Amino acid sequence: MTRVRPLPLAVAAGAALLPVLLPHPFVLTIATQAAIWALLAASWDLLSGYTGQISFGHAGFFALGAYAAAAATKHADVSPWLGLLVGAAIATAVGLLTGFPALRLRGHYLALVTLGLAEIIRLVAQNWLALTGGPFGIHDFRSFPGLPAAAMAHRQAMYGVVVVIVTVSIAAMYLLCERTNAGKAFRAIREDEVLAQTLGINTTRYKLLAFAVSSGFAGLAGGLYAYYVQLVSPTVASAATTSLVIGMAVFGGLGTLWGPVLGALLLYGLYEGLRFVGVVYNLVAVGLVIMVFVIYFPRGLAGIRRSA
Amino acid sequence: MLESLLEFLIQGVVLGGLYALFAVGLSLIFGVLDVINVAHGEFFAIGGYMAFTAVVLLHLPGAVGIVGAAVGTFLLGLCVYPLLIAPLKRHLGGRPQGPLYLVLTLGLSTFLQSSLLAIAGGDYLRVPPQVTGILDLGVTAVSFQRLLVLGVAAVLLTALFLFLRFHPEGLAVRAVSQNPDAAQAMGINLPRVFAFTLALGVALAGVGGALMAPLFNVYPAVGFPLTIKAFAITILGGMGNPAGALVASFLVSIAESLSVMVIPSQWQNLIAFAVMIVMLLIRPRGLFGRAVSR
Amino acid sequence: MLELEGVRSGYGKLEILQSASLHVPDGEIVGIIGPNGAGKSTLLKTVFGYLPPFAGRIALDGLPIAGRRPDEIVRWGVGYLAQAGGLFAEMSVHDNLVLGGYTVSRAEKRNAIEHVYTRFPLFRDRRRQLAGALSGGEQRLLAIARALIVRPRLLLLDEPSAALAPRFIDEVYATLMALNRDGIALLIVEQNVEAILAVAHRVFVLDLGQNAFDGTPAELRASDSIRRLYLGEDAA
Repeated sequence: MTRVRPLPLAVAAGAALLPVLLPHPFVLTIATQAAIWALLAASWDLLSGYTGQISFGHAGFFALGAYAAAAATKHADVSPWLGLLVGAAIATAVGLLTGFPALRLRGHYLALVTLGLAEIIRLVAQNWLALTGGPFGIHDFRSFPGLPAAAMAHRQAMYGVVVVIVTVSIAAMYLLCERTNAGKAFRAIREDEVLAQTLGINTTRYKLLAFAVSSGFAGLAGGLYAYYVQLVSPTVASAATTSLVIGMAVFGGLGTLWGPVLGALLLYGLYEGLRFVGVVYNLVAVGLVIMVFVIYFPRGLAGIRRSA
Repeated sequence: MLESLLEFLIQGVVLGGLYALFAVGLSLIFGVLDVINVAHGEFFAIGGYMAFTAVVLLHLPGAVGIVGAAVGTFLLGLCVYPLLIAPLKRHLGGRPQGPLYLVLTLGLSTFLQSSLLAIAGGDYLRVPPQVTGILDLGVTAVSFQRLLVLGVAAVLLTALFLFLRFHPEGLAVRAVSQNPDAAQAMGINLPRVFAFTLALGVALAGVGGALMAPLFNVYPAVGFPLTIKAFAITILGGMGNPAGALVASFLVSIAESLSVMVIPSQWQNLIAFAVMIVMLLIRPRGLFGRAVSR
Repeated sequence: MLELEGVRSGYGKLEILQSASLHVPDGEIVGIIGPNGAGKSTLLKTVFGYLPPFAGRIALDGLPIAGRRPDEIVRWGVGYLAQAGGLFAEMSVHDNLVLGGYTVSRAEKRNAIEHVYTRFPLFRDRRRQLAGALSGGEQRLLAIARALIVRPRLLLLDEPSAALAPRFIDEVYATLMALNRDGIALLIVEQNVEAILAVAHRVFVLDLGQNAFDGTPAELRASDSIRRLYLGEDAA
């Protein structure tokens, strides 16, 4: 578990080389968005897979990051680089707040609280016209400065920015989960919280940490999304977002961090790729994947190799 | 002022019938199977589509649409336990893993909703009301369609509670929800009760869908907002307590209806979620539920 | 009537019963004693179908029942009384009895419940009361009464005297003896060694998941080592 595995490394390398090998706008679009989803899926896994606090509301943190970043840049003329931090910070703050009820709730009840929170965020996004632009959302805000202007080069540079930020973030989360005491604490909490407490682990502190880190990176993903797509609307906080993220994580394998990343890249590629077949069948596939994998391959792709 | 109050009160009660059909089924499923059915709203939608098929495509009377929706969603619901939940149970080997069942039903929800989209398209389908006309109550007017919803809900839910209270199979359902091991020792076949209860719960939603089709129109995602609201209602009433869900349905519907007097209507939906979060924080077992093991 | 041969069982990967064999002749009372963790409860649960055995043979009147579900085994005339929590505490006494008759016809159920009320008048008076509101001893008796509705030929009891005051232990065992006189075989797991030695025809001692000794109560009391290990130093 602690050695760096060859497969994700290969995928990562492949991802990095994409703009060089296939400089096609469509490929770059998918790759960039897939990377953002990978970050979101990894952040979800840290909280739900590693620490066992299943969140059904990550769409909410994602949306908070996106809206905060977009609003900051649009209304306060904050630089997008800073805007990313603003988005992450606000998501972290809310995530921390969410962590407190989590201290006393388990299982489905926690999932429902997070779901309710995400719904509230979506409702606020949809109805608070002044701040969020209502159903139409926020648009015309600038993206990252200093990137080349030419269309293709711009795409490649944007891709580069996103991939670098995503990779660094995922690496940071990986180190946290695999190389520190915090990571051990997360896993102990997931396995048996009562036992963890009797062993002297401060479960309160680590649960809150997991919430904060997870929501922070989800918010960062949201900010990246905002500056990439240049439009933030209430649909980012919808249940479909949460559904996709959970599907990606289950597909890749909960509690491995790299599993959900792989799951995100593959599933998003599948999702977008199937658009050619028929726009609607992609979500059908996602639903099927979630069901089949939860039952038969609970350890996801990561587990298939292990159990073989 | 009093007239407004009365008007909103009546509207709230009428809405409560729909919420009750939804939430009671959801709560029943949780009480017996320990599973939160995220896909509940999709059965509501399917009920609507069945009504549409019967009335608009096959030119059958409205009542047939309602009965067809009930039977259809019941049969479909019978498949869920053996195909999805039982295998997961087997793989988990008896270790309670509530959230995984949530993920499973979330997958089912996504699958059903997008399948509906794929099969029927995303258009808002119109279904003619089963009954037309408006009842003028002086302070307010209520369409007969809405009264039909309330009426059918009252009849069905009364039948359900009588069944659970007096019929041997109803007793069996309650027995399973209270003490599955002892229920088995009585000769009760657990998988059969699980499958039946789930089908019964979603059939209630299906009937709701058929009845509301003229009012909400029919489209794949029509049920989802109700599902999340139903979570809030069942939490308020006590997850697993159908009677609690019944009471909570009306509490929420009346609160929402009355709230229009003080807050803008688009924020109505927030009430249910705010209530849910508050309940989860101070009293997770809801108003009438059993104590929650932490 | 009941035969076990080399039964191995446990929870998940944890093997508790390593190899247990015993038999219960028609109409007899057989006791199972032994230290905690020896697998006594596990054995009963395996016979009744709550746990599938890993290996071994279980036969009821020659019919193999290993691995069958509890709701099937009940229909073959076997009743099970759990150590604790076997009643539907949130339901009335009457409803508990009705559930006891789930597998029989309505007429039979009515007769059997009437029979129970005659035999145990206290339940007739309290039939609307919630089962959970009864005292420990009354709950134990209710569980036994409920099990009788289907007219079992064999009853499996897991520590029927557990957590009961001596007065109630006597009452429970008096009831069990009366049932046995009516022809019902009893397989009783007990921690209260004295209670079971007083009524059993044969006793099996289980230790570390395996048979350690079996014999009549007199034979058990006669053996010094058994007395010391399982009956307590000063057992008569």
